[in-house]
Amino acid sequence: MSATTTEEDQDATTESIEGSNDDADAVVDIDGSTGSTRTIRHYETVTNHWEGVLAVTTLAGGGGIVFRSPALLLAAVVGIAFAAYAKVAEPIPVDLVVERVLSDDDPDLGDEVEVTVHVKNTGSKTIPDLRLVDGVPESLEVVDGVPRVATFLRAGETTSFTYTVAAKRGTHDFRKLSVYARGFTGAIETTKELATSTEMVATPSLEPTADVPLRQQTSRYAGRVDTNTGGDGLEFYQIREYRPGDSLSRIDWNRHARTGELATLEFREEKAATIVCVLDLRQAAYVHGEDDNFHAADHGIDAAGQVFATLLETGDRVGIAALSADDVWLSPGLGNEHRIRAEELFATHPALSPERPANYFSLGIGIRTLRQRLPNDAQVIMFSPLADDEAEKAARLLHAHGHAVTVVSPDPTDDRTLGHRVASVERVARITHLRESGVRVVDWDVDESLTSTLAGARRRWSA
Amino acid sequence: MVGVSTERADADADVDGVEDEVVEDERSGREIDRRPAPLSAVLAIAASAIAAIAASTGSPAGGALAGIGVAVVAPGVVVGSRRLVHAGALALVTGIVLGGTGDAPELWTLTATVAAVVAWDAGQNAISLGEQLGREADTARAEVAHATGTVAVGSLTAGVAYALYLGAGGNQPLSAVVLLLVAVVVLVGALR
Repeated sequence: MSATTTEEDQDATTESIEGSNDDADAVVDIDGSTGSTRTIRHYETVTNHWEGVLAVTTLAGGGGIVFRSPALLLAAVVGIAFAAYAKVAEPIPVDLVVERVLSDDDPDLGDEVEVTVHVKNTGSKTIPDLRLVDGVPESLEVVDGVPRVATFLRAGETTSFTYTVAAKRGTHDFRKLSVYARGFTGAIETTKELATSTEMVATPSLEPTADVPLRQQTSRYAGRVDTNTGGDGLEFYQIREYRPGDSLSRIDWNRHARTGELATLEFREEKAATIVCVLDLRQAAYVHGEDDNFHAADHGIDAAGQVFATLLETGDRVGIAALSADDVWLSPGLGNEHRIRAEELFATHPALSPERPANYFSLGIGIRTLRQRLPNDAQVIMFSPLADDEAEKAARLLHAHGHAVTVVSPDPTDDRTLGHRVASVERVARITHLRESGVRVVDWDVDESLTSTLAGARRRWSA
Repeated sequence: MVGVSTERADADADVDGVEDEVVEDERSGREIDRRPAPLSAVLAIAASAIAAIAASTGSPAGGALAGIGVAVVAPGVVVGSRRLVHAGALALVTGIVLGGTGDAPELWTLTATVAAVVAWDAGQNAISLGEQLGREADTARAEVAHATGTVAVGSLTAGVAYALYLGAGGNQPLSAVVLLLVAVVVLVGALR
């Protein structure tokens, strides 16, 4: 019997916990074939719970004989009874079926998902002391309830426990349930690990947002970014002297009618831009404000997903890179296949994990590698909280080497503590320095939507 | 520059502008409180108090020693130290023995013994539950089941032994009990 994912098995449970059964402990019928019974490990340990009883009893009995006290001898009888109680203990047979149910196995980021674990005793003996520890994936955080329980389970009875996790980005695997079972005496403990395979996938939305304000750096392909190059286009740019060979439809006939001169109209050429979204995934980017469940890196990845989707829609070539110890590179491209590749990267790439990275990242080497890969005409949109000076340095380096940089910076500071306020001031200073160097910075308050923030930035820059 | 800290003991990540310092993120590694399970801890303290009271009826010295036992068991089941629980139980038993050598009625000594064993057993169970599952997990059902088993065995044995003692005691109470003891030992030996 293979372990199964449990999403489709929700129909198999015939009763809900709040159902008609009056039993204080939930009795939910698990159809044996839908739960999991595969055992990964199974061993017994002697707990030495009762070690020492016999020794103390001997002392008491000896004392009773020496002092001629019937009371002590009677106490010794009790002691011997307990010693016998402990000795007679045998390992408890543990036959369990596990089913784990997620309230939503395809949640949006940040949603709270309720996890319910049902465990049925399919053996013929009662398990007096059954301790269960659910294998919550390390990448998830429990926000309500406890994923552990200890109970008394008769044969055929089912117990359930529930807890809530916050959906973080990526694929999360609930791989096992740990079981520790003891008899009444507690002298021998049977440990089992049952395999389960419940999966929860939460990916960033990849929903297009407002038009992303792009800089003037473009490729030679036609697109929608207005350049300062005269030629064919929609927006008027300039009038120049007529040259033989200019198209007749471009001649400013009004002028010719007035003055008899020939002049040619030029419009802003619209070119496609090549953009690379650079994510800041270093340790320093995994910071967050007091009330925020997500790191600035998480916000950055979410924003990058939306920006990526928007740029694909408008026909610009867009790629993905990251400042991180793990290599992240998706070459700029177009089309549906490219979009699918990006979705896979967002959902499964280890560098985009919600966990803080442990490896060291050298900015110098990282920027050099990135520059080697960036197409010459590529703009850069960097997603970074600018929480440290290295981030500022990275933006400046890229900009100085000919890639127009726009920084979308989620603000991880709030003014709760003195430290936050200091960090906030330092961050604002970095933003100012970057703007002075010609880098555009979108200072994004994460409580506001990215769409409105980008629209506001676009208004400011389209002067 | 300025290192950052929050007021709350379970500190969350803070923003740190210094390039060389690593920002601590404790949100993803929230610690589980692994102190002993409260129900069994309370049971252990209560049972050890009963044992001390019962021991003190026999001799004040015994009561005092047993009282020390209670004072050692209590922090043991609050903090989660098996050593303290063992030491406290030993003190309890020694106190009971002292009381037994004095004028303690047999029933009190028996009660004290059962209570001491229950305290020691519940204390250890509380600690092991705390270590495996943490304090916040719902463990009441398992704790009650385990404690019930121990109390049942103890009371049953004490009751039967006392009844036999009363019934068969007669002229030679001491030899009767010694015989009883021998019988039990033989029985236990046969069970192995």
